[in-house]
Amino acid sequence: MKLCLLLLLPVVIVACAPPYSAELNSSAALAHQMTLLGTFGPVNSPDGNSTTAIKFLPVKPTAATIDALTVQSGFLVSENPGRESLCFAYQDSSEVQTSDFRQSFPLAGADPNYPLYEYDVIATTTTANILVFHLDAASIGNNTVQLFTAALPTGPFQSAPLTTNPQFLTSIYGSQSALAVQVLPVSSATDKFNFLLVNTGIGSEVTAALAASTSVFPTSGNTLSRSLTLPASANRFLDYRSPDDTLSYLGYNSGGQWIWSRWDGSSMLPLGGVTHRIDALLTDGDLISTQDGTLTIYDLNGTEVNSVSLGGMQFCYEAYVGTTPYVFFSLSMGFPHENWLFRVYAIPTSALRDLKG
Amino acid sequence: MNRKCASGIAVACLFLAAQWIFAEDQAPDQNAPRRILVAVEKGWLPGYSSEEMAILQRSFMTALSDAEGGPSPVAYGLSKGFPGSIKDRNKAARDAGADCWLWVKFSGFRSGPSIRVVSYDLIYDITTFDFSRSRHEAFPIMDISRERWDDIVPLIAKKYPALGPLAYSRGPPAAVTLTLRAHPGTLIAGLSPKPLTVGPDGTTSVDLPSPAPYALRATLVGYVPTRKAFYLDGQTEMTVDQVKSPWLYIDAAALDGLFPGVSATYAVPIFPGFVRVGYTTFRAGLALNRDQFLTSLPLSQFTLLLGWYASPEDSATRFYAGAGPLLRVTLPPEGTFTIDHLLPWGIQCIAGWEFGLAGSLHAFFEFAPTLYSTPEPDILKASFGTDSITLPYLLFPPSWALNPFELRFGVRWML
Repeated sequence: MKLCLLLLLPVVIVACAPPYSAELNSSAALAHQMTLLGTFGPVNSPDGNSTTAIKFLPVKPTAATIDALTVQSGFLVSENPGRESLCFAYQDSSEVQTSDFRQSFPLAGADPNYPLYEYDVIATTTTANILVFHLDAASIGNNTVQLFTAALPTGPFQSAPLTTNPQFLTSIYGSQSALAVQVLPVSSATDKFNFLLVNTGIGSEVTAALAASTSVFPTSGNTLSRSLTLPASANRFLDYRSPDDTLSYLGYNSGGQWIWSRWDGSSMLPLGGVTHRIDALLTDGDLISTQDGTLTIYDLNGTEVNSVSLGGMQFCYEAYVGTTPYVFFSLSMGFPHENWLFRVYAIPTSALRDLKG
Repeated sequence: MNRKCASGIAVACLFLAAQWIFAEDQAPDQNAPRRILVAVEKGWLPGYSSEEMAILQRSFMTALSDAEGGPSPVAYGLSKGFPGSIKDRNKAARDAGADCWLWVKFSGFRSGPSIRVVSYDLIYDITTFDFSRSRHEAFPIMDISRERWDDIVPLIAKKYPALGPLAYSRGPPAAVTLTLRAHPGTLIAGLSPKPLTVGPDGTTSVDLPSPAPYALRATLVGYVPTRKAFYLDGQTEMTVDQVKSPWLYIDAAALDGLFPGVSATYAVPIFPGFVRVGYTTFRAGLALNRDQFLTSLPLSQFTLLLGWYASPEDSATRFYAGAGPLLRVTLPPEGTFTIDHLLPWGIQCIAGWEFGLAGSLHAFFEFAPTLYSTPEPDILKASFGTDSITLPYLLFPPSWALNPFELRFGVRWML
């Protein structure tokens, strides 16, 4: 017995698992085809051991070339039972710090097929900016948008000092409720914001620019592009417009199945080949989906042109670096003691179709 | 004292020392302790279990060993019935390399046991003891250190004092030519100043005084060294049993936090080296550094090891050392089978300790410090958290990490 205890003692003392990252290994094949922009962290879980997942959204790039890009700050969207929270993280002289200010978003009533909150990092000027859209099928009249900013490089992070923030989306155009929103990069300095509005079964697309003072979006002067007939009496849609405004892609989930149609201004064409949730329409006209951890790319006709496993990578956004559009992904790696580490990768939008799994 | 005289004394001392060293294996020392075969038996003795009998036997043997100037006891297995006749008992004693035997039988009631003691001296060919002792209380099984055996052991010790070599001869020493049979090329040490070499016909001969106790050690490449103690009493032939060395060892092991693994070792026959391939899975194990007690990682480790045994094969415990590369592979969720990107390979050194358990089953314990290479030093460092404590790993930038505390233990089946 003494011998057994003697043998067991050192075993217990050194009983530790080896360093390991499933995420690093899962994403390795894909990561080799992208440009690694930087490693960010380690960061303690903003909510301790109740954090179940974190997504890192880097600040939108301002560099003219991809080689000049570094990852110095970004937004952390962490998931906890019953809520999500948002904070700002930045690299100071020695380590990564997180902002004292954190915004919490309750998840009560969330539809599993749609995000209750959409986090859109928008073009960086002198501040890091993120829009949080609250889109709830149960109360579309209460859908809102809230702008948060952080002075670069170290904050402070706060709700932007606007009179109306959060802002009801019904104020954007003629008291109509907004069902969907799209952020499309126009250049390295500006984004385009498209909304899908509804008025008694008739959908309308409206384009708005970011406001400068009292509200997130201006309450007048927004342009109604066109109207389209909504294909079902649903209260949540995903809607994307092509960069040249000639095509719209409208999708909704019915019984767990995604149904997509393309609207060319006069008629609705069903896209039977698109069966996944679409997360973005890219500047080259392709549609991408990251549903179930798989990156699926469709051309403008809804034909699947590529499909690869993301290996844990998460889609962040498309953004211009100089004059070249890139698609950005982040990888969240969880480690013992509620530590997280993040990597940011980018790939030219034009190369996305050539990714190999 | 001049230099020539000093040299002469030194040479004489060396000669005497050599004589003493070689004489050690040739014959019993001057006044060597007697070897006594001790058989303990249980008669009609209600209330004493086999475990309690084992305790009594161990206590008796210990007391006999500790008796100053007494014989050196050799235990006769409790489970084997001690032969009934003096002739067979003498044979059992000779087979055990003993020159006398002692039979102790416990019987009677638990609260008042009696002890029958019979002993025989093979050298003088006489029964030295045949008596009984009665106790008036039970044996103190629960506090056996109180049992001194003062009514028996001193008598034995006094009766069998250490003897000089001449005592082993009942008359003038008679040289016997002993022919030993073994595999050709076997070296037999302990019977002559220089080891005997078994010839191509499988025999070798040596002249030895008889009767007398002897011990030999036979070695041959590819065979487990054989140790044999025997009592030479006129026999002229003896066969040395030799067992082929196992060449394949199969390990079932646990690494660090009880992560299970297996390995196969090829023991090189011509020298004490070995080659080992091993596999460890981290699918299940303890992990005190992961905020939880148990952990499961989709990670596996393959090792290739070259090693060397520092102890001879017939040692009760063997020590060995080795080193070799390791490769870590993983099948992560949502990923494909790949080499681990955090710590893909390393060099492992081992220092091992091995001892027999039962038959061909051995236990081992290995200290296995490992140096890992990492292509991701920043992720490796960050994986330990924000407080910069990376223990048990020591990081050596830019791309090395050492875990000096890895341990591996398990059982080894030698085939």
